[in-house]
Amino acid sequence: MNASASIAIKAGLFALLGCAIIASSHDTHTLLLVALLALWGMYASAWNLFSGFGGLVSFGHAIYFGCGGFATILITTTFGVTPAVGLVAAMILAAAMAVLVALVTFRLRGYFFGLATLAIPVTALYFAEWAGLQEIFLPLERERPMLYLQFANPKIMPLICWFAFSATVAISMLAQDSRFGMGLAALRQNEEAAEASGVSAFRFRFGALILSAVLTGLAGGLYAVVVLVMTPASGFGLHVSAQPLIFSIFGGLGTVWGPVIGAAMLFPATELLRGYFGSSAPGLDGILLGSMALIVMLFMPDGIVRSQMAQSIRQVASRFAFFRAGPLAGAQSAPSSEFKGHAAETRSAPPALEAQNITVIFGGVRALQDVSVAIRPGEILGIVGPNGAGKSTLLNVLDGFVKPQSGQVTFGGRRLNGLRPNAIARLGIGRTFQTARPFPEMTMIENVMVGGVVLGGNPAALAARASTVLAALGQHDIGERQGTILTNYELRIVELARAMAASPKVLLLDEPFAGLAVAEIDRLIEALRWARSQSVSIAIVDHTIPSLRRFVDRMVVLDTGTLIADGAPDDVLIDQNVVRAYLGSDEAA
Amino acid sequence: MAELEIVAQTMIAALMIGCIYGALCASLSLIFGIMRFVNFAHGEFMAAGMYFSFLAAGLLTALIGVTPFLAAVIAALMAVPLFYGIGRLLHVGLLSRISPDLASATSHTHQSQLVVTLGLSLILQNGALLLFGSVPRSISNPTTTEAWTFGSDDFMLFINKGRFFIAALGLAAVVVTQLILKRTSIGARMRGAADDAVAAVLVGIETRRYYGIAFGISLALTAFMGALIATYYPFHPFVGLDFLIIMYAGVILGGLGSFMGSFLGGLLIGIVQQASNLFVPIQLQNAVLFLIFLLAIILRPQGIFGKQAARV
Repeated sequence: MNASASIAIKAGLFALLGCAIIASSHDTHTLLLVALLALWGMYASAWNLFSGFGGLVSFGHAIYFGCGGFATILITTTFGVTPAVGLVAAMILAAAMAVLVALVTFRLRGYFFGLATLAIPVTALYFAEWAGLQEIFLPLERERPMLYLQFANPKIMPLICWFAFSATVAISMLAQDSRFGMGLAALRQNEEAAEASGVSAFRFRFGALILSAVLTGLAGGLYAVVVLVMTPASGFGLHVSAQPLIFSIFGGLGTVWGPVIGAAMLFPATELLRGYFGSSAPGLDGILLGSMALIVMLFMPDGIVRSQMAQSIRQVASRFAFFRAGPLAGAQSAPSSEFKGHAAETRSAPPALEAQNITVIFGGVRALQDVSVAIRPGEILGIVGPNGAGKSTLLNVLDGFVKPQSGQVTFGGRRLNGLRPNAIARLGIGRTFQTARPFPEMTMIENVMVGGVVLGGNPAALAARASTVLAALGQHDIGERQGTILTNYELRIVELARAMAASPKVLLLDEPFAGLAVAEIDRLIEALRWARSQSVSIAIVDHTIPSLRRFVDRMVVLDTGTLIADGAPDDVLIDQNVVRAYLGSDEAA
Repeated sequence: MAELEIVAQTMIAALMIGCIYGALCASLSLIFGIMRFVNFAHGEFMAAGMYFSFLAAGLLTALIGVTPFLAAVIAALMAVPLFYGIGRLLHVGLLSRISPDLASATSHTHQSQLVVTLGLSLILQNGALLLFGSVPRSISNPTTTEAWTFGSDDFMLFINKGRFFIAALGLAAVVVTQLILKRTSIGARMRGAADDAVAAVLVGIETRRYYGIAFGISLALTAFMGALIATYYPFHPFVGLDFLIIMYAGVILGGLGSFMGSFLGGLLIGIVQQASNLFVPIQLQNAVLFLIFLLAIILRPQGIFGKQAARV
């Protein structure tokens, strides 16, 4: 069974579950609760699409929910049209707000992002109060109930809400299994490594936010249609932002079913408290919600879905083949010759990557001064120098992580200055980091798959490609393991494989040999020779000359930010300047 | 002449409000600056101080017959040890469990802190709703409606007595806290733990303990101010959020965690807020503050008085 059929079946079953619940409920109060549960579940799933999958926790999704609710009622009453039009307007307004929020907040991280997102709906709340929107109603239209979505049968609205909920869950499943979801997961786990693999943090998160906001706006609009009234607090209040967040974290942040399970467990509890004690002891529902936030963070920060109990339930469930169809299903069957053919046929000799007259100043320190280096087509270039010589800075300039004060970088004649690292990666410049940066929650094969995201193709093709690369590097057996239990050598191979999965034209390797045993260094050199056989030019940074000497074609030496030698390894090794840089001037012969 | 009078009158009000906001911002900066901890619930702790003052002042007025304002001042002083204790307990029982001792905070730990303090904030807000209902409360007293008048009939200025006393007490509390930070060995250790947690541990400072002390002092200061503000500002269970943004805006303007910088940041917020009253409808007063706050984090995350701070 392929992945999309499995998603369709799961979503269909979930929709049927809702139909069964609604069919078996009879009093209007229960039906209202079911409709609200569906809407809050939908809202939590939509929130999770952005914050859970992408890793930037939004504390202000109420801006989309409130805009959705208010837009629906205001459009309907102002123009005398059906709320269906209002719902469309709700989604458009929510998307527009998302564009604004993205422009304002995406450059922020951590608590700045949290505070800024928190402040936005609260500002909207004051504006709504100022604009006299204290309490606006959707008028009852008993004459033409169908047109106004006020159905005589009390089961229809809950059904509509539940279908919207099921659609949101289906979208989550599709997103998670797609290249889009993989890119978001990579960004969440290590933004720099994701950027270096060609995943644009801005574009992926922007897409996720728009999608999330549109669904949240729809949930808010449906909420207004169901309860027929909006107040500034019910649209923009703090609890409106907090509820989907707590549901999702309680269930399991960044999982498809976490928000669903969180909403299903917590929403009825809060509603019961509100229903029974709302007048005698108001606030119990909020206290429950707040306590849940504390309890989850203290005792099971990964949420219910990832908890021990859920793992064992899943093990039992996995005996049924139905649950097993996943994105990696095609991986085993793929012929392993495919990758090599692809790499060899589609490319001739790669263009040269050139840095000209680069100067980088950090504070008052000149990290690089007027350095010019070219990586010629098909060569392995060693960039060496003592600690602090500026080697890593040079790599960071080449792939866009550091912006030089002056000088330019060109690739096949094209200027790279000003491009983001992900754009440079997509042009065919891959890299590894001095300290390996795996995506810790992913298996090794998934790590390597992220590298292929830039090339396109469905997840099964990405998986096939990833296992081919791993096999070529002699590591076919580590695919299913997680990054946290690998040896240093295996991590380096996985990073190399991740870079190679993108079919790069140039590879930049930052101290790949650091901390490896002699035998491992030999194996890694073999792997690099294989990489070059795929017509990739390679630049390797290291601080020891002898290890590079054995297999590089050319060597440049940096010392305190300036280029002091450039030539064949054996010539460089006896160069006066190099000897002085390594041994000190007194001992220069 | 009349316009000049309005401007002068506004400046007087702004300075007093500014000192009050400044003290609140300074209290938040202790958490932010020393513990590198982000507290969404800080406004709710101030609100807790307000409700404490409401109860204690009522009791004191009935029992020993002091004026309501004096009773609130006594309540504010009583709030200091009480909230210091609450702060220490909360730190030991909750915050230190989700925050590393060495303040080596990553984006991830910041998100945990935000979620936990969001939970605390919901509990405190709804706890207040449960205990006191949603009706706005106030401590009715003559002092906050009386004023000293200066000048003659064509140029007259008022200084509200209540605001003046509260601003002066706030300033005094900030000075005392500053002295604790700068002149005592406890303060020196707190600053050490803030500057370089690893180095502090290596010279034998128990950073966890001093983060707890910082949190305790911070809550004590914010509850002290809340207890006083309750005499002129009607409060409801969700009042904390109004003040939270004021506090964060001041802290960010003041350069993230600099104690006196945050006081100045709060002073500036007070001045801007009062000045905005001349141009903007009163309902949008808070919206203006939120916009300043957003501008502050986007344009000058390092603060206008402050040192460099990383935006991570």
